Amino acid sequence: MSVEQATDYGPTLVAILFGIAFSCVFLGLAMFLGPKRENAEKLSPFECGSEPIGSPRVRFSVKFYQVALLFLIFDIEAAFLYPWAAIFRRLSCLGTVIGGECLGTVTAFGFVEMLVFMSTLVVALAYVWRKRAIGWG
Amino acid sequence: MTFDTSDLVASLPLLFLTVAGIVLLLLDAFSRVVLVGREHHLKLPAETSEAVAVPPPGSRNYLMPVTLLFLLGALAIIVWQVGTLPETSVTIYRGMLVVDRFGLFVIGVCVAAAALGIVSAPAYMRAHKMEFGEFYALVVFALCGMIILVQAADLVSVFLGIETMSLGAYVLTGSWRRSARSSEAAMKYFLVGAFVSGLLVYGIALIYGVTETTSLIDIKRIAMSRGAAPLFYIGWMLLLVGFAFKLGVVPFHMWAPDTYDGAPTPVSGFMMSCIKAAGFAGLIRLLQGTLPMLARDPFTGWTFVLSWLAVLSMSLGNLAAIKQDNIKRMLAYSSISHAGYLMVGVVALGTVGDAARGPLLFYLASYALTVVASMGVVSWVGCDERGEERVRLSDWAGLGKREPMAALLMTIALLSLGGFPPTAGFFGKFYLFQAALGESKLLWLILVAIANSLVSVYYYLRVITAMYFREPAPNPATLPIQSTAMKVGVLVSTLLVLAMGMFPGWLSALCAAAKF
Repeated sequence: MSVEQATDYGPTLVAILFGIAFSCVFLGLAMFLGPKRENAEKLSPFECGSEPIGSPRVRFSVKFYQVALLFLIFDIEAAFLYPWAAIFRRLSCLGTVIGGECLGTVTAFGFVEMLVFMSTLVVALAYVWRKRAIGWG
Repeated sequence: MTFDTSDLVASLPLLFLTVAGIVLLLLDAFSRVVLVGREHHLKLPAETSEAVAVPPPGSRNYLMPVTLLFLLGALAIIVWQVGTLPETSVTIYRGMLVVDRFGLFVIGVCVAAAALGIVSAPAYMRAHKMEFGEFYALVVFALCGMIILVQAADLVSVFLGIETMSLGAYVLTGSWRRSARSSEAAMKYFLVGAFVSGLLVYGIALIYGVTETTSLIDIKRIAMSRGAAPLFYIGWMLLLVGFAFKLGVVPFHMWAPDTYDGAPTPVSGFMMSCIKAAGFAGLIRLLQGTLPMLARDPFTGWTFVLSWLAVLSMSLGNLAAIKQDNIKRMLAYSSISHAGYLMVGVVALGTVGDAARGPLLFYLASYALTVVASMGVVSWVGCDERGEERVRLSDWAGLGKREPMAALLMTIALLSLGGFPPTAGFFGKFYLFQAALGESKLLWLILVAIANSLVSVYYYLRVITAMYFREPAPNPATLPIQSTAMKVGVLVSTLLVLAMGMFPGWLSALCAAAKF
């Protein structure tokens, strides 16, 4: 890395140092200036202000985990659709794109690419359905 | 945006196996299942909420011949591609992958080893009551990852390949769900692997930060012209650590014995042969193909670093294997020491140059086949009627009398691992050490390697003497598995090991022709 490149990180370094100093100062102020009147109510753990009920170590059904995984897969699918939609015209154009108009031949490349991607996800969906991962039962 | 159909043709093995994996996955998903209650073996009616769908015993066996056909098809495509390949390498998908003889050779070895390994899977899974239809799809998907890794021309595809390969291997390792050791093995492998993936990405990020590119060709050009910055060294060191973890090289081997020992035996065979071959091929492409100029620096060059990894790996692997009473675990440690011998080959690549690549590939191929043969016998013998593993040395005592065929095949495989003529292992070591001797500075490393091979003979022979000269224990291994496919698979791989040892010329010519 050259010196110029290193100086590019200067502002980031300042921001980090400032962040550390800022949090130290305010935590310290609270520690030294704040009054400390402890009682049983204050020191007990709380959930949303109400009395805690039962042990926090509950066992969750593994099904939640399955649903979370499925959500992740199809969420990523949706996330991939946005950049694809944004560059769809450029993907499908064999020339330059000016103002959304293609100056050249329009191809099905972008469309077919997304079809391939979606069809692999459909395979995944079919697999998940047949393996009974979608139903809660 | 344009698209080259010639890219599709050039990456045909990858595309073919991807489609094959998807087909296998769907075949498994749409085959018949039975509903079984959460309690084992308790059959419940379909509407009961706690029922799970499992394949009926033996119902997924037909997937093995289908997979075998797909793998043979892939091999045919690879052979056809080698025949039509131009002299220079072809870069496809805008510089993401490269098609050359080196890559195709290693892919061919991986596909062949996988094909010889999966034939023992149905009988093994049946005997151990772990039937699992996704097995075949996962093997094929892992092979796709290996192809990407071996043909990678970009750090992004290196990472993509390693991850695809490892994901398949993690699930396969833990696929024997009844066995606590299999779950432990998968957990260890997964946690270490996930951590190492982080190191790999970090290394790639640092290299990108210095060179502003992820393309291997551009990285080579930039490192040649500008010299390497300190951050670049840190970057490739992290990459090297990542590869060393994946290959199970000391001191990054901690996961390997437990994982290879705990995983279902056909999976251990698959990992020791294919993942090792693909990983070493990726490492060779990265080090010799991209960073040859960093090879020879006295303390920071990769030949210096790797020669120590090789010494540690060979010595520790062999010393730990000596006291193993469990044959599968012994083979796991032996795989660590073989990673060390292969590292000697990579060091030779850095000092001697291209002349060492052929011998290294020969060693990779011979080791992959030998592992498949030995793990095939372990799958065959190492089981009892209750589906538990019988891989202790005492279980195998007197096997030569009870099951002469299995004992003979195991003997040949072990002799090849130990490097005796007339097996593939002998010529693997012979060619490798001969090539490394091209540089007199490597003499000490060769001497360490030879001393280690002598040590290793002890524990390989221990199994052989137990099989032939020890009286069977009161409760010996009983071999309940009667599977023609498994026997043929082991027989073919052992015959190949012998053929490579008796007629090494054809393979070594093939290896020498496998250029970048």
